Amino acid sequence: MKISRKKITSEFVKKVQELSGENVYACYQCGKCSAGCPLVEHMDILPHTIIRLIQIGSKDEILESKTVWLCSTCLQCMAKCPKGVDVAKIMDTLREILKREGVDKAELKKIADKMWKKLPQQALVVRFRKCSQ
Amino acid sequence: MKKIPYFPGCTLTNKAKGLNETAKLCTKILDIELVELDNWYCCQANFSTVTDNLMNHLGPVRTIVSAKKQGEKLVVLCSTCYYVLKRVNLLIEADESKRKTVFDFLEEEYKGSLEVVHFLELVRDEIGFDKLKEKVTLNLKNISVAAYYGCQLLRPSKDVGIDDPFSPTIFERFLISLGCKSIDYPFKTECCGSFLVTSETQAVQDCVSKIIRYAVKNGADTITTSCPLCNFNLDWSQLALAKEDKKFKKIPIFYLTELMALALGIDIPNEVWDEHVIDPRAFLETKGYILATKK
Repeated sequence: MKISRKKITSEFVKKVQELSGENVYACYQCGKCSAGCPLVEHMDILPHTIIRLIQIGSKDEILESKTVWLCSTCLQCMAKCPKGVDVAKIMDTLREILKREGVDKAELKKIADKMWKKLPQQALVVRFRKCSQ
Repeated sequence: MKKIPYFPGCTLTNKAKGLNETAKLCTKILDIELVELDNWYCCQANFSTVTDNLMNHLGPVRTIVSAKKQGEKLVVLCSTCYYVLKRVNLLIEADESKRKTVFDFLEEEYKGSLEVVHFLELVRDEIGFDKLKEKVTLNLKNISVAAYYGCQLLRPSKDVGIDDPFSPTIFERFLISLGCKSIDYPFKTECCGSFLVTSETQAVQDCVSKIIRYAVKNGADTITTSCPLCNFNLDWSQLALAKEDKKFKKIPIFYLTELMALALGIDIPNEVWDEHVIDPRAFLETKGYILATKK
């Protein structure tokens, strides 16, 4: 049996690669991104597993995960990846795919009243950019 | 006095007036007048990495166009604004086709790239740490400060890095010039949780807990930042940490320019301290740097 990536025809994989400009197949699952991620303990799927799931075109599993919305784009993963894969960029792309399907996670109602008084504007601007269309 | 345009951004004119005002007062003592850029736009607080959406870059590009009309250099105080403006500037410089699309839309002419510099770079390269040291009138030797870099001053290092991405020292050298004792600790370049603070408070609290506990363990009495969001996260999350753990001791979080202003003998108005979640006045009084009567 011949194994080849050419046989993968998933539209989802194509879309992720096109929107992010990243080659998801460069990832060889070393897990350094997950090891260095400061928010990993709150994620339901580890960052390197997200990349693996993209490789095999498992769209639903990824897009339903909490992980996509927990990435803060701190770029620790990108800085540590031995294969030069920008995992944060891929997370941004996954959010973008969901937002274009109408998902909105701005969740302003979650903000405690007390917090409003001191919360910097910048937190809201980036929240809208990252989580809302 | 040399005039250099600077970019305030949304937060510096609202919730982080302290950072804005103290920075301007400090540079004046060092013969540089930071002049607010005419006609600036929101930086978007986010560098959009999706390849097909140029709209998100328009705000920063408009700012870059304004800055280019007023000089070759733009100083930025907030780490997020610095990160976004610098990356958009580089993108526009490097990608001819995107540049053409954006400038055709804006009906503007591209006049070459701009030098986007962070405040710390301005102090290091334009003023010099030696000159800063000479101007110090109040030596802050009683304060042990942990510099917090966060993400956006360092990563991606080839684009925005103001220093070595894994072991930066620019912030520490700045603090040492002010006379402070600088504390090294393992989490100075880790994420504070960023915008997640409004929805995932527990996750942000966990990030902040590691940063503060390691800094304090290594001897810090305070942490200093250059980003209003990092500052808020480190400041705000301590309320919950103190509630959960009775032994947790809250520490004040300063903007880099607040410590700088203290060292340069500037009289800091109470409005600046009022912006903080954990009031730093009590701390400064015990260290003997402000008078108890000022409160």
